[in-house]
Amino acid sequence: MRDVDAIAQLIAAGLVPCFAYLCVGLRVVDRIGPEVRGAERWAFAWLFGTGVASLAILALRALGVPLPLLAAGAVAAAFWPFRGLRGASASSAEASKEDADASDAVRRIEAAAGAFAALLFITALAPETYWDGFEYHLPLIAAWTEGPIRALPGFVDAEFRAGIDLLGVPAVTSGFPDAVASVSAAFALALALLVRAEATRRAGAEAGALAGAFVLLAPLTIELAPSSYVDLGVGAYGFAALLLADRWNRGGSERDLLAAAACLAFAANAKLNAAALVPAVLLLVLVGGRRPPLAVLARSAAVLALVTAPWFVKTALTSGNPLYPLAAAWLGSGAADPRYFELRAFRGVANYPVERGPVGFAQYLLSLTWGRNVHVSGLLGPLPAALAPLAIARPSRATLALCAVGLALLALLFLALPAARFGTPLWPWLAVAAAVGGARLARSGRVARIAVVAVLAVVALHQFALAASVLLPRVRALRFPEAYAAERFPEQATLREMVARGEPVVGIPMGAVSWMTQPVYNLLWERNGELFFREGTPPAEALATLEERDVRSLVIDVAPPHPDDGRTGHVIVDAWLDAGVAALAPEVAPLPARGERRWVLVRFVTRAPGEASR
Amino acid sequence: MSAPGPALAGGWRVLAILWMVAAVAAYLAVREAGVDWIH
Repeated sequence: MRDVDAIAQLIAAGLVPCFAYLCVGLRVVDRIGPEVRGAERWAFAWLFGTGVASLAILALRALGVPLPLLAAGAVAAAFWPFRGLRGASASSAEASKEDADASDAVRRIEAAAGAFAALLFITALAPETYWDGFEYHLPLIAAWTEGPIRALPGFVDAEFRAGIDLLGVPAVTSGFPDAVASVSAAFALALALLVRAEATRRAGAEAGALAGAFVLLAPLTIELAPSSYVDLGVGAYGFAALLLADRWNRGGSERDLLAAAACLAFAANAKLNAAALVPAVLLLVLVGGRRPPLAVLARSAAVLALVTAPWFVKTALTSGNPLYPLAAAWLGSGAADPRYFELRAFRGVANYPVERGPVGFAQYLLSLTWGRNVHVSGLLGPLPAALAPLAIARPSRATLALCAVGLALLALLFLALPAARFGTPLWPWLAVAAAVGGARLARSGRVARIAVVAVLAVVALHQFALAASVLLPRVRALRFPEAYAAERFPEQATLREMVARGEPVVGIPMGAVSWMTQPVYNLLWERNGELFFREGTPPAEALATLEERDVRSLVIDVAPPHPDDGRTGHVIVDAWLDAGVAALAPEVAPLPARGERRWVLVRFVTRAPGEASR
Repeated sequence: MSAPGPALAGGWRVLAILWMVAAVAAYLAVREAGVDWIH
């Protein structure tokens, strides 16, 4: 249980780094960002602040410089943007003048959205309970907090880009891992501000305010914002890049393209698959009706190369392959088994197990709104499907180019990574289109306006109820974090308890949580990248891998009647038991795992620390 | 600010309202009533 002081410290641990990144952003956005004003400027300041700060953290942690919350506070003080804030106030005033005729309704919507954003931020500080968060995001930050950024054999996620993960370093360094997700919640707010600004530009203040509010309420936002997942951040960077490219097509300046290149680089630094946006943005400006001069394209490419270079260097140093995990066949895959990449790609596609073809693609598009696939369906809410088609009118060339590129990216998603969270750079466009379509229908007569208002009210009520069911328990969890975490994944609390009794490094089973109080080795191939801990892998080979990673004990889940019959039901472990190289720990009573299964502790009995592999 | 396209009139307006209502109703049916017509 946390007392009030501890909760206040936790909130500070969430706020201080975010504030520091924002301060950095307000200082740099006027120099290297696009020309923006009003609330949109805060969003771009956040994007550029986090992008730049993340690179600084990468460099400092590579050198082993500790970065506690105090350092973030010092950065906030040093970068306090006195003039930037004045500029922001001035541009806010300018924007306010533009919106002087904004109705009371707009003000009420924005006040409600602001209150909801605050709730989203606060509830992000409750314990991480989303799978990838505690399986690799938090352990990765912890590893790079306990030591410098380095190769981490047996932890394949350490070789991927982690630009957004690094933003959690100050919170984890100071002992507040629960505060890491505040960054994701802030990215949700940035996305909402970007959508609000673009929808306002295209459809008016009322539509803009509603579009921003519904971005915050969308089930996908509610799923991702309170976790240390990085998809909202990748989405914000990616959407901003597409937005700026579209702005260039509509008469924007060179600064927009240079800023688009920087946003693309930030996205790729956070997740390499976002690099697919680079050719998409290039295509968008080449066919959008305002082809940029070669010199401008060259300067944009230089920005992209410069900002992505640190991660290429990092990956080259730690895995030997600067493009890791791409081109593994030619440039190598570090410690990872090459089969890992094939399986991982297969697993991504399997999230939506439908044959790849035109019919499957149509089904995928329908399933985004009306399907029941847990990775894909319903996460955007109903408004994109209900309202975006109503925006169709005589499109400009820039709009046609944007739609064509968006459709191509959607097809790519369907083919390779169909889960909705990988489409975050695209979905905000649907929100903008829905705002335009809704605004168009709303000004098509009194009945139409009443219908739009009624439908929006029903959807808002539904989305809010869904959001409240997720977020309100997290308010209580600020005070009772252990109870909340144990309720969400009861078997994980007992796993932690059992891991605490093992001799580190402790091997833990497939899918289990790596966010433990002592060093663990995840037996899941997706996490370790080198060991397929299942039938078919020779026990001696598996043992050699575990010895290489200094694994001295295992916690595994067994089904009844195991282990009372002296077996575990795991083929490899039972072979070790037969060979006498491992033994069940009889003095450690099994603990409840999922369903009827129980956690048991297994020790490698014939090994001494430092003993060579047999 | 640019206008969000011309206002809808006549049959298009009726069609647009019906589409909007049907789309949201179908979403709620799938989500809350457990209707499972596409995967």
